[in-house]
Amino acid sequence: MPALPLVELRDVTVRFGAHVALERVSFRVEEGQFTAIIGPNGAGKTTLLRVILGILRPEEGEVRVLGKPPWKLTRKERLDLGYVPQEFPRHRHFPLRVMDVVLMGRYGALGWFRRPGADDRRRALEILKLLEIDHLAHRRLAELSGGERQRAFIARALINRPRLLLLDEPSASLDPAMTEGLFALLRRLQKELGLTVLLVSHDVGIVASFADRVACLARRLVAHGRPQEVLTEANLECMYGRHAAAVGHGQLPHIVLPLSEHEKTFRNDQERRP
Amino acid sequence: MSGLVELLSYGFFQKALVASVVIGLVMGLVGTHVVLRNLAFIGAGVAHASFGGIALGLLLGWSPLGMAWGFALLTALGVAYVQERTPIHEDTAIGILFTTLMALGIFGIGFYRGYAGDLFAYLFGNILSIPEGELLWGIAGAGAIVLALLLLSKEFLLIAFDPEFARVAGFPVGLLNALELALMASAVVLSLRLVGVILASALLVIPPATALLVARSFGELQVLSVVFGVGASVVGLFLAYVFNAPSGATVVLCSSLIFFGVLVFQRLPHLKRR
Repeated sequence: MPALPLVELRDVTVRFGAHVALERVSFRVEEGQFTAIIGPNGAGKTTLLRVILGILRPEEGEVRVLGKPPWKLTRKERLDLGYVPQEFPRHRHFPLRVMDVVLMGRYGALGWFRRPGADDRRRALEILKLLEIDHLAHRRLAELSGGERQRAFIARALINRPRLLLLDEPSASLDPAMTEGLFALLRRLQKELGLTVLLVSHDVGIVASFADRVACLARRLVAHGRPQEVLTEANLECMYGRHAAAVGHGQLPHIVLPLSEHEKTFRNDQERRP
Repeated sequence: MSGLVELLSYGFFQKALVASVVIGLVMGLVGTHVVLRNLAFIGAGVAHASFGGIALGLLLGWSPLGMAWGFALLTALGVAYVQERTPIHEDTAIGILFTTLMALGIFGIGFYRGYAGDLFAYLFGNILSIPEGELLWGIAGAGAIVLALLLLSKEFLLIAFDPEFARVAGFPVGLLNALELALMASAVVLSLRLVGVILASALLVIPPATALLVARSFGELQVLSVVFGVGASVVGLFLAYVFNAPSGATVVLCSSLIFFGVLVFQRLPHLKRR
């Protein structure tokens, strides 16, 4: 029996005025998969994520998340969605401790007016332990490194033990070593918690090594499948243009793209030198 | 000392003192959200829009403060609508709305045949002349604002820190935002009697900004902001009486002094406690 799709999009089109952000995108994520949506800036990656989260309603097409149009999910049903937004610099200056941020994940479960209690704190500590940052529970956000802050936000998304974890450009402010650590962590969480992971990234290399499925987006869905099948020269060229160069990460295919004219000239110059 | 005791026995001064405490408390509390959301301009905008209301109220013989409140709410809800539904930035929206409403008032004043001194009382504030009826209304309004802020403290914190996450958790961010802006606008109108139109936004920004310099948590931020707000209003009131100076300017100067005092204290390395 095929696994149940947690996310299903059929012919989804989103327009902002005259600008078409997404065009007839069909796409599904099955339970337990680690899927990465990649594409250049302006490809509609974040728009796609916002459609899946129910923040944005497409003009055309069908969206099903956990079996329902996402904007119809009740607050209770939304506890199955864990969301890690892209980091904003202003977050750092809020007078909040890691514990306060993680407890925000419980607000949806608590509902109106109620404050987090002892049980919520216990849950928060549990999830902080799982992410190996329980020693930071009482630190302020401003005192954390980028990677630690990222883990705090992941802890907030996981506190309700959701089925689906969605991340928007989680590696945007991390260096390559931290990015690799983050993806290894997500991989471990996927296995340990039976999570379905869906993330948006522009980092083709790291995605090739860690994701089960890759969706290549450039307003339209260029390709979707296993990394080896999808990350071909033709697809990358379709997304990033002919001058892109990407180097695969780790065990997965090293993709060498055509050199840009500028690089060719540069290389010829180097070769000509005695 | 005997002068102080005598002063406290005067009915007009007692009323002024109660009003100052109430206004310092409300502005300190609501102001925490203003600084966390970088909305300092809303205070100035709402205050100036309410001046339009006061002028029209005087002209038409309607309650000037009632009209001021109406214009303030119109600005707040207009800004909330623009934020939610249009690509216009909130700063721009405030700039359009408050100048329009204020111009309406100034246009109206041209036809006003009464005593223009009434208008000056609202421009610069005069707490020592607060009538008992207005004080009671003020206390009731302040109570309602504080109650709403305390009940929805976690929801307001969430939309300030991470509106996207709030949406994903299933909270009606647009509605909460409109309500919060309306509360900010109402607090500004309450403080018109103490500090006047021109300086009303000071109490909304300076005490919480001072608190932000030292607070380590959201709870600390709220408590310290209220302490600084009430402190500035009460000390300012006494000094205004002693020096026979305008109450509004004295209160604002007190809060500025506290701000710069805390800032300097914090910057002096050998005095730094943390």
